[in-house]
Amino acid sequence: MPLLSVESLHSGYASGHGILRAVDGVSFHIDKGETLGLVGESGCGKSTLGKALLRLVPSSQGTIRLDGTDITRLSRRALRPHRRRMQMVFQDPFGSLNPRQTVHSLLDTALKVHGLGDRDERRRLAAEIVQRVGLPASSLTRFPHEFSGGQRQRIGIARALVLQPELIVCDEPVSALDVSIQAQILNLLVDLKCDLGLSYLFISHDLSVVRYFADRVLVMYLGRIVESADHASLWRAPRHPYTRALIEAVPSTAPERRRIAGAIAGDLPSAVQVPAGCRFRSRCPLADERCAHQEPALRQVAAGHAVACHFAEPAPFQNIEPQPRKTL
Amino acid sequence: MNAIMEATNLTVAFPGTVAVQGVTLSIQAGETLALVGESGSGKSATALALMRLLPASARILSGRVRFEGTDLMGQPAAALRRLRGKRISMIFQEPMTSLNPVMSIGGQIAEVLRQHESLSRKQARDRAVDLLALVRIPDPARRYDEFPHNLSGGMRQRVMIAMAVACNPRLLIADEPTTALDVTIQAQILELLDGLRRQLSMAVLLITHDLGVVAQWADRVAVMYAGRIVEQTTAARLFQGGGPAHPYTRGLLVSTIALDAGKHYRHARLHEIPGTIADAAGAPGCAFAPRCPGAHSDCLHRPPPLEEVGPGHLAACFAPLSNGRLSSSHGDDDALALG
Repeated sequence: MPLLSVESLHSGYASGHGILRAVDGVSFHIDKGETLGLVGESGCGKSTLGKALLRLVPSSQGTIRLDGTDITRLSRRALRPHRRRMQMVFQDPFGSLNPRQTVHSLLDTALKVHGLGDRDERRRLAAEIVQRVGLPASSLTRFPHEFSGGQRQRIGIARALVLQPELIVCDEPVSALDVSIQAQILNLLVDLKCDLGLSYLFISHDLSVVRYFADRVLVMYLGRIVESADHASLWRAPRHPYTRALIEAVPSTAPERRRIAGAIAGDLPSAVQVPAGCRFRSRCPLADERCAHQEPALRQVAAGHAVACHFAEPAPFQNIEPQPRKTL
Repeated sequence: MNAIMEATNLTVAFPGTVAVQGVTLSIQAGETLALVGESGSGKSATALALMRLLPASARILSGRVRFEGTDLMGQPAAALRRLRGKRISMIFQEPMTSLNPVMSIGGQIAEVLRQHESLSRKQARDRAVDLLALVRIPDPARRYDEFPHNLSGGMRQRVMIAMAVACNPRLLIADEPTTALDVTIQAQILELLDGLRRQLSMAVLLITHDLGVVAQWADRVAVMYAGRIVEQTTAARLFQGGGPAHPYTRGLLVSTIALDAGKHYRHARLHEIPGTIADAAGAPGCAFAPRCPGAHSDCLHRPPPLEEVGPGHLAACFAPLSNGRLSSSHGDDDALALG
């Protein structure tokens, strides 16, 4: 049984012009010990999806199951023991840490809320976790503003970790950090995963980081998943034109890849007035008549590889063995 | 080659800290020079000092800036205003905070034109529409009357670029112009800037922290660390030729995760630069020494001068690297794997 499974989840916000459908029918699962990457541009709904899983924003339809238990509509009280098992690390550690609480108090509060341990036990757990994330023991009596950006992110990780969760949703955890610090934090997350058997949902707009860090990847566009594959086949043989465009647009330091060719035009359309047919067609080089009328379903095109594109088989660009064209 | 802008020994202090220390830099006509560094390295303070746009709390302690033969340091405010937006212009990371939210985008471009050139309202409007078309905003005549909040981030940055190039500047300073944008939009904007650079034969000073952006769009590169330029070379030499000479540049290159390198956590650990940029604050020696795998006793006493290590290649290090590798005495022999 997967650790987390999500079935046709919808989550939206009321806006002046109607409902903004941030997450618009998304299904996936996360296995125990797996790192699932979630990539997409800003506004695609990836952060809302991460928050909806933890019930930090409401979902209008669909189900979220943690270890088989449907938590979608549990009351606050009934949800609490499940919440302990799923924690979140945010992009901006400064914005997500109370500036008036010391590190010890931050960690202690999290433990108290979940009724874990007595005073001494909590003190011991806090001291242990601070050391585990690579901060000196003296950090416990200090306030968030006394730390650098990288160290603050370590505090954010410590706060998530102190509850001994099984799943951590990391929302752009290294995007605000400098390159040299990014590597420190990613190495820490890898160590924690290996030592504690954690599962991650790793949300990022940075494809390079996701390629390094994820076992399996979901690509999201305008509230829907357009491609889902294990890391080897996604990066080697991406099938959705949007995934290809994303990969193509990342500037490379490799000398043989000078100049980005054929960047896709235009912007993400509005999630309030979602276009009919395929949501990507306004920017797609392959779009034809069918794409304007019929929305492509996310369907399996190879083992562990699903794509929502009418042109996904046979693969239009890569040297993949030809497959018989399915009739739709 | 002729330099259109030359800064010599520029030192800028903010209360309690020296942000830029003895920076010497020249920008050649028509080239793209990338100024690279992490947050706190002084790259934005350098750019603002070149424009004489530093906040009131900052002071230029020493140095000269010459632009097209004129010394900018001695210029009165009125003369600088005639220069900015006309001969030198600048775009910033977040276009929403640089644009006037209650004025139409076309009106803002026309305002720049009328500030610097004697044009009628009608002429300015026509030129502004042409500029919107130049930066490839679809349906420019209709878009003229829209407001910044109607536009996406990428479109707003296009408007900023249209304003910046309105008077055919010789130099455009772009401070992290795509950091707030998505990768597909980043590629569009940087391609646009590069096309305009050729079309209008202007130079671009591109401030960025992204080495991929440098490799794709810059001719030359200057790397800053803790207020000083630590390395200066051509992009070709850095990425294709001899590689970096300064251990900090090398550290940046190897800790950058390259998409096409295909590294995965199950097989390879990421290279870290230990510590933080603040580790050597106030120390007399090389600011990178506490994080440098090759630091020795000399490095702790005085900062290394920026010296030539190859043709057109400068580095500020007592033990510069050759071929992007650390010499064996550095006790770290993993070769530099680019890309």
